[in-house]
Amino acid sequence: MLAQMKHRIDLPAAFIMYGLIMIGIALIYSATHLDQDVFIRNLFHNQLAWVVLGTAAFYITAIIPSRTYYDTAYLFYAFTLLLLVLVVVKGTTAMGATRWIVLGPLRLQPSELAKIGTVFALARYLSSKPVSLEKISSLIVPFAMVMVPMLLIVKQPDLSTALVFCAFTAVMLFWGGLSLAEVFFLLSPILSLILAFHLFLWALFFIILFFTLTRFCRNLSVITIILSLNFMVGIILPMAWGKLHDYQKNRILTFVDPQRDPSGAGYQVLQSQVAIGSGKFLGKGFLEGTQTRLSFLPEQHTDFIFSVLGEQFGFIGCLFVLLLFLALILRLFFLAGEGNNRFLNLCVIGVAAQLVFHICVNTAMTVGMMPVTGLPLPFLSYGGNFLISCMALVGFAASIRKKNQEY
Amino acid sequence: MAAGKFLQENQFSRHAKRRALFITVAALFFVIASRLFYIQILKGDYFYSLSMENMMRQKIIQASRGLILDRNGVILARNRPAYAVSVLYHQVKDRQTLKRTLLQIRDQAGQRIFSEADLNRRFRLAAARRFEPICLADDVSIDVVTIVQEHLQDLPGIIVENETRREYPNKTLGCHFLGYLGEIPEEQFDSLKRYHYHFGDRMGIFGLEKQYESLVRGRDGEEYVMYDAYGREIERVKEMPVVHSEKGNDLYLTIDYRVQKAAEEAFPDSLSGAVVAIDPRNGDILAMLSSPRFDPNWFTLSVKSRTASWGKLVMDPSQPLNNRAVTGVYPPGSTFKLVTTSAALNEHVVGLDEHFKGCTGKFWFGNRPYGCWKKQGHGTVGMIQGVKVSCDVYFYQLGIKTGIDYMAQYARMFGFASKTGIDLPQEASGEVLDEETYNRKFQSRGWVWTKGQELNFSIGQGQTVTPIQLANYVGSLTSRQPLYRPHLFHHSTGPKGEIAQPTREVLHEIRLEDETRQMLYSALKAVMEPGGTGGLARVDSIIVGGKTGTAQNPQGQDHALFVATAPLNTPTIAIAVVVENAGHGGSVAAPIAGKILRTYFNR
Repeated sequence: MLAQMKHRIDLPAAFIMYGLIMIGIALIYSATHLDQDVFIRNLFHNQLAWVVLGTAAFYITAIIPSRTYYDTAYLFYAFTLLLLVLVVVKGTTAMGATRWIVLGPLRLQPSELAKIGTVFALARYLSSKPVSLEKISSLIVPFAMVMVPMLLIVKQPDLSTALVFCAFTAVMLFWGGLSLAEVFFLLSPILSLILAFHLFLWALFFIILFFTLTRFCRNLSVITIILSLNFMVGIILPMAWGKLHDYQKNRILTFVDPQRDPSGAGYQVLQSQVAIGSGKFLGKGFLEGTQTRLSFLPEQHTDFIFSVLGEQFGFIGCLFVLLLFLALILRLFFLAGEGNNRFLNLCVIGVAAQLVFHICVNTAMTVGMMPVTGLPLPFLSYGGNFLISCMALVGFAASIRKKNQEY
Repeated sequence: MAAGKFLQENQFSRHAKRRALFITVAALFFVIASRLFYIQILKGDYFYSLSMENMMRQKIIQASRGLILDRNGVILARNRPAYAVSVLYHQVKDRQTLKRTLLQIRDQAGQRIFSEADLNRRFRLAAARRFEPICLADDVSIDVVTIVQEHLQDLPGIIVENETRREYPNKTLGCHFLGYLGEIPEEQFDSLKRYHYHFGDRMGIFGLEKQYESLVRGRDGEEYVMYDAYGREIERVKEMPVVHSEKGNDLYLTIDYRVQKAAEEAFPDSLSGAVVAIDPRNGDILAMLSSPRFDPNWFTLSVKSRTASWGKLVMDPSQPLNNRAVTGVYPPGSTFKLVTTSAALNEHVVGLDEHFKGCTGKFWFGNRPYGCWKKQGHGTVGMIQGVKVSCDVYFYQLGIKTGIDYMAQYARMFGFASKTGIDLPQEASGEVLDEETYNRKFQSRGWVWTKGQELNFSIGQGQTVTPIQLANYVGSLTSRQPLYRPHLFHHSTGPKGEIAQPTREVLHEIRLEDETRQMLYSALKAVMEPGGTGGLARVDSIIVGGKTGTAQNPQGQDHALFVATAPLNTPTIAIAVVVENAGHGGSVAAPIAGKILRTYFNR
């Protein structure tokens, strides 16, 4: 069995993934075993069940031939869009957001499927069509392809998941033909939005952007579009924001993040930092976390699982897990660079980019470098939909070498 | 196999790109690892001590509420410092022990500060809001604070908070328009949370405190503080964001403290009723009073001492919490006769010197006698004399001749039967019925409009008005100004910006001919002259115009009314006084108006 698997699946990637999953289950147990609620205490059982299902998904995506992925890419994409529309029409609402479709005992989160579907569809398109910033028309289809599911997800609202789309699209466009400078230009409005809080920094950024644009880009209309977009985001948006009433701002902020609670979120991040920091070098030891016991962090088994790790296993433990993640990502990049099948390579790059985005945003949040968003940590956080979709993606990516041989 | 469709990747560019991605990802991970190094290795001890002692909590810095002042800056509402004992539930180690300890605390009189039932209730609440301080005892005295602070180490989770309390230095003065604060109802709290309200906050729930809540309310600050094992504050936690508190705006009212005080002193507390003084040139309310009064300071006392006074207020049959100046409705009585007069003159229904049948104390209409208030009759009177002595029989005849439609139309023009739109949360509109509305209203009872109603209407007994409408109306009779929307807001200053006095808002144009105005002038003036009914409101060297009224009250003794305006040719003040169950307007209500006028004109 293992020999057969070895032939089909990249073993290093699979081992790292299962290693991370096992660490995750231990951490979930540690975070929940003292809870008063029996249901919460038994969550790690559920997670084990999800792992079984995820393994099936992992295996299935590994054995499906690459031709099938290529042929059904658009169909699958259309199907995930349909599910997203279904969420809008009759989804289940929880905590101010409508993200789920309930099927009997299962709560399906179509945005997870949409991430996969969009990667495949985008990979298929980019594998046969050249894209360039010099020719804006070449970017229209890929943009539309990403914008449709993204807007549907923003509407849920689930801004952080929508941002995942930006991340993998940028990386895939880069792989698919854009230069580093071109990707930078495309992402510049987002950077402007971040820098818009500080006028001086923004001005500096704008000047740099202006010179690089005129240096690397010859298409005048592209330059104008990108510069005016940046200007709008950097100057007009903050001005409009200043004109809004407090309650209007609150309404928008609450739309962006339905669980927003200015003091509550800050408290969570601080508690998470206290938990991680108090782990010091070696950690307090497994099941010895004090912050966990006092249940300072209501979402410790999901979004803040990294703080459990930091508290109980210290800097060493965090570094070990980060290195495992890094090894997995680099392995995927390596696999993507090996074969000659452009479609498969693009898919793997998209998968890896997704994982990177999740890992970085989640850990940065728990150590207080980023605002609280609802992005879970791959393989470690509790949650069925996300775990299964991650395992399926890795199953696909880890079998790329075999798939490459199918041609 | 459609392999031809797949572009073969360019090995070189692919590897170069792969290297770029490698570097990017490694750099991102390095940044996160460095941050981990910073908080786990460099600041590890600090966070370790925080996690062990668990002595950090959010501290809310209560923003002070804006002051409320009169137009000249006399303070009507301010804040005083106070202490509260609260619980932070997530720091409570053992609820039962804590409760027992708390129950032992007594103040200097030997009274328990906490009651068991109340503690249980508060703890249940706190369990649901474990990270927010939940108040256990508010407005506690300084000696209790000392006791609690000495025993903080035995009371894990208990904190003493500084807070401010609203204070109304003039006690009952202006209580009805100032209003009061109350705790936010729990069910409303979640919707208010996003406007920076904290649990246990107080908000305006009556009067101007409610009307201008968003303006006078400041924004509370937030910071995180570290505490030592004795529960004393050590320092602010620098890693956490700070929200600075922002004071609320000060609110300047159109009220003139002098005039208000004169009104309060002139109106005995034993009587029920209302007084409104208005500036007819712009609708500024100079004084507003409703009686019986209450002390809004009661509402800011601690829960314990509040309960008794509150019960008394709510149960009081004279309804002291009701602002009679804007929500009390009364028949206008003879004060309405000026509407009848205006309608008759302005529509040229009667000539200036037209005389009706003389008054014999009774007027026969159909087969029913309608009496005049003076049983022995007034004899033959003209219009000015009719107003001066307030002869009912004269106005019966004038009313019949003018007709209900004109009278109702003019009543509405003077602002009756619709809310004035004053800036207070509640207001009554009163009612002016004409034939059509009367029939509609009483359809179910089978009553039909009869011509006899017109007689009652012409002397002000069929309709209801509010004191604020009366003041607004009398001010517009001779002023050649439109009817303005009465208001209490003058201007506001503070962090939310300067808000200037809003421009005057016209409710109705007063379309009266000059002849009509002159006639009204003479009539209003005559009332104040010897032999008139309003002599007690006279002011030296100022021409005051006025009109008394007696509103028939089916439930008891008649209400006394008096309206006045001065100086009569260019009025700067208009007053309405209503005294419930006090008989004649001339003897009870007019002297009150007189005192206010004399204060206003410094006489």
